[in-house]
Amino acid sequence: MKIRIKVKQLVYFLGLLMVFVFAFNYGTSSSQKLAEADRGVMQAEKSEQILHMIDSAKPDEQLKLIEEYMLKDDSGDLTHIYDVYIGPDGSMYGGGSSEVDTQPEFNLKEQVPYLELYVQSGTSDPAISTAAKLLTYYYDGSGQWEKAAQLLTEARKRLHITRYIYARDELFMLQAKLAAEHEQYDELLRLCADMLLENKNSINSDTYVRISDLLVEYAMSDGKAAEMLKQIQDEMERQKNQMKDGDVVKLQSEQLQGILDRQNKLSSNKIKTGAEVSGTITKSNGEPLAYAGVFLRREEDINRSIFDMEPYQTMTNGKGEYTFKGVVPNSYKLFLGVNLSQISGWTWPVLPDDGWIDLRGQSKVQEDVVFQPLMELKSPVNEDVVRDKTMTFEWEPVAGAAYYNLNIGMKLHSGSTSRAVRQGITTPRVQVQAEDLYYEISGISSYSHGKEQEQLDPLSLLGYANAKNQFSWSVEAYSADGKLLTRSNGYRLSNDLTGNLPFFYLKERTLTEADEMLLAGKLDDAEAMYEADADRDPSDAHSLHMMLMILKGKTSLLRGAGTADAEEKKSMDAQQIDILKKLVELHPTENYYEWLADYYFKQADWNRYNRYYAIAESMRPFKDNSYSDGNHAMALMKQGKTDEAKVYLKKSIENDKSHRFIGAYLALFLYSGGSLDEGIQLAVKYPDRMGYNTPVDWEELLIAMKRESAINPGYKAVLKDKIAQYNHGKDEELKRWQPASESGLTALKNFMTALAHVS
Amino acid sequence: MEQEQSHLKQQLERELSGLQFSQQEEVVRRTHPTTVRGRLRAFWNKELELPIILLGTVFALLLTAAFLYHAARQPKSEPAVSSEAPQQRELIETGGSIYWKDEFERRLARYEDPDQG
Repeated sequence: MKIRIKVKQLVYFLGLLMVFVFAFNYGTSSSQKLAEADRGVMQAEKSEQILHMIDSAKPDEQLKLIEEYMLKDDSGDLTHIYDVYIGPDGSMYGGGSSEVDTQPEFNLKEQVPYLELYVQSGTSDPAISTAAKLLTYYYDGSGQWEKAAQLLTEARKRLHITRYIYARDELFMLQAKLAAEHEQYDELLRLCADMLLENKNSINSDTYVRISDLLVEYAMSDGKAAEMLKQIQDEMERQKNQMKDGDVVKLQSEQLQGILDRQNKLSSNKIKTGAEVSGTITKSNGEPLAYAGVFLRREEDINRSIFDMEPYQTMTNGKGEYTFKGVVPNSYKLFLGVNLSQISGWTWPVLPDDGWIDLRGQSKVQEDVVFQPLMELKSPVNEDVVRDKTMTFEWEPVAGAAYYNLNIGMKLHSGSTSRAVRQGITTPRVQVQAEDLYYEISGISSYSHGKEQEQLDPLSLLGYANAKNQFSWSVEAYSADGKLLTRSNGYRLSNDLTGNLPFFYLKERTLTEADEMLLAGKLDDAEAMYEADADRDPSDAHSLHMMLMILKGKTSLLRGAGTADAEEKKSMDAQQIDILKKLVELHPTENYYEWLADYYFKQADWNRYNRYYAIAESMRPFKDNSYSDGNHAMALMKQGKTDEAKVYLKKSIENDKSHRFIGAYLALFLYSGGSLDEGIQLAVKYPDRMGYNTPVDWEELLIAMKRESAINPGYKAVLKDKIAQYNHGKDEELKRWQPASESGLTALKNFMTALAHVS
Repeated sequence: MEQEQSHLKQQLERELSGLQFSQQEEVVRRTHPTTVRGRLRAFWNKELELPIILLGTVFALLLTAAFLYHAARQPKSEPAVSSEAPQQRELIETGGSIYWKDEFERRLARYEDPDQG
């Protein structure tokens, strides 16, 4: 076959081909350069270029460029403008996505002249509002709050009244906050009145709540503020009664209640003014965390992500300083908003249970934060393969560290898990027997695809005995008084920080056929093979351990409340105990003994419980035992050994910053003759901080009981009697006890109900 | 029949009498170009008859050569990069730390995978 083609067509075609080849060539070589170059340097150059471009543009172009590069994505809200938000409970990415915009970052100071220009002559309302907010934080931070207030007034005038109510409200709120912080109460009242007047029908309840938060403190000492607060509450009440949607009404009532609660908290504490909380956020090399977000979060807000309405939000100034004024008494934690370039290579050394700021009438509290450099790991790293019986973990020592904790993690079907395997290590290296890891009892996870039945994750069952899985490790350094100094885990976002990757393989043992079967996802076949192996060789501890793990997993999948499930669970529990008894002969570990003790705890078989607990306790290495101490105290209490129980409870409460067992301790304290007043003091000293269970305000409960006892002469006897019932495990009887509301025992009933949940 | 033919001829001549062919020169110039410009133009519009197999082979060879050339220049460990400068980079959380995904993968590729070794 032939084709006819004119010479000119042939030439055009070849020409086009050449163009493609060139374009391809040029494209790849430039992106290659980009990948190789140090991005940090490029970013700096790029932001300089952008500033230059803005400077040399024509006026209207200039505004567009400022919008594009400085005001594009951000609302100007502190809860959105940072890459990462970190608190004692962990960190979260802004926006929840792992895709990060790598557009050049400008520091706030650099942006100031451009933002000012935009507030004066910009065209887009939301962008004007954003620029004004950012400038406000800048001026307030550098001690020029009057300038900030003036700027906000001007910016508000520039916004179109009808179209951007939200943006105007935001600026109003910011200005009111500024006035409150600088104790300009007349100004605050004027602003509140203006705002209410201007947006009479369109104001949303969130705004009411935020104004109220500002007014609450002032309302204590000023009649006008109290009046305004009342006016807002009436308006919210009126709106609530008009609403149809149940959820909205509920939310509104909750918000209203929140305001009243805060008001009561202030008046019951007879505190006239809120506290000042201030401090500096720096790195250990002295460099301040300039223009970082600082959030003083109330106890009730901590378990959700930071939201716009939270009352105490601010930004550090160029020196890393921040201040909150007029903070209402409550328990708080500090959270920070930072950019990736600020956190990369550094960590804020704080533990989940740490960092509480309890305001109970103090006028000033200083809370500084010092970021520390991440620790560096030495070995095993970078996917090293360990084949020895003994593994040596080694890391760079940290100055001032008294001890280290070592965590080892593993990949799971979805995600990963990590647990502390050695604690209280006093040298920057530690040896761990591979064998010990194999018998660790880690959490068993399960997964399901779509509507499929849930299945156990073989990776979590086989744990560290899986020679095919990739493991990771990390260390934390602590001072002698148990304060976290730094850790190896964190943001590592540049070439030199990526450091040694903390991954390794443990191939000391070879997988058995049953292991392979398990990993292939055939759980039942694998279980049968483990059983056969264990029958053949009664000293095969691995197979017994695996049988135990599979049983444990299967028990965890029994979710039904039916009697069939309950029966099955009972028989599985019994099988587990049989296996455990064999295992402790072959390979005794603290975990196995604890498991046995726990089983007999639930059976109330105190003889066996005490025996196994004693062995477990004797095998315990240095480690935080606050939970097992507390749990053991509960066992002692139920055996009537009140004095011993008290000793263990006290130990638990003093070591456990979440004060999990404080309720039980208070009960014992009252039972053995302690007064309610002393009890209240204990409750204040050891507040319940079980964040994820609902924390109980024991102080409040005891105060209510004190009020009851004042008018009820037989109160003490009833109290003792009820606690005795609790001690003897008569839970059902207590549950049935329903004192009439006029009996004057309601607070005691509430106390007993809360006590039943302590575990 | 003859009559009919001559009738048709007459009619044709009558209808075509208004048409006159006046471009003889142009045609001759195109079919037998004498000037350089004319020759070039003739060449530009010359029709070639090429076997499709030959043309296809040459084209395929060219493409392969271009591709091989670029593949050879690309460093092996480099993950594919898009032709535009990336505005978005992905973070990855692994082993308890957070890395740039591209950098992490590049780093990991340096260490041999023990399961394949």
